Amino acid sequence: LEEERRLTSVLGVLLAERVDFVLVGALAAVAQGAPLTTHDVDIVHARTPQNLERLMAALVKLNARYRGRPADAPLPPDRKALATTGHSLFMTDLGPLDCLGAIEGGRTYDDLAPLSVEVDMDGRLLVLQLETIVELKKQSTEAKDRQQVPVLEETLRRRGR
Amino acid sequence: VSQRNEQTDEIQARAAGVDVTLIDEMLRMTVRQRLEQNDRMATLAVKLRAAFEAGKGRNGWKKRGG
Repeated sequence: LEEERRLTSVLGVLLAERVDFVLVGALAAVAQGAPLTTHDVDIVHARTPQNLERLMAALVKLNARYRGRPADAPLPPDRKALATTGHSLFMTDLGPLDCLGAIEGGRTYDDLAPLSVEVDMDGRLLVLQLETIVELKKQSTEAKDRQQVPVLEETLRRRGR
Repeated sequence: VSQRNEQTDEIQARAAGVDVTLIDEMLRMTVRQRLEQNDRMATLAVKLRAAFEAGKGRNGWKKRGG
């Protein structure tokens, strides 16, 4: 079951539960035309009490449990952890899902939503704009992120033609 | 001049290993098609890795001592 990656459906569940989030990371770049392959969904969620309720409901539907735990001792999502700026890394029945309270520079949902583009995907999907993704990847200390910069910059150039 | 700059950018991108044809193909797709293509590629990669780790490579590779 965990060999399947149905990340599009993960987004579908989040949208169906009306969770407020911004799609970030490599999947956000893919959504905007970058020819990358990624194995997980990275989102920055709004941390209001109402949105945390909706996010928890979506996580239950996705059978989310923390990654890195033994299969016979799964740990269900912790609402208190989701309310912080920390990173909650889950495996779901449809693929890995990272729920990030904040990303580089302490940027939260409220900071990122204005830097996002809206996509119609059976709901209102906010995707972090490619220009900002390039900036973040350039600043990243991880080699994997910086290696993606040339392809992201060329995608931006070709999209603008 | 701008056309020349564009050509220079493209040459630099190709030199950095960027497949510009693939980018153009992606840009012609809808957002859903791009995401679904990623699902297919990621699933394939996960399955290949699982097969490799289980020593079931189709090229005759076998786990040592298996």
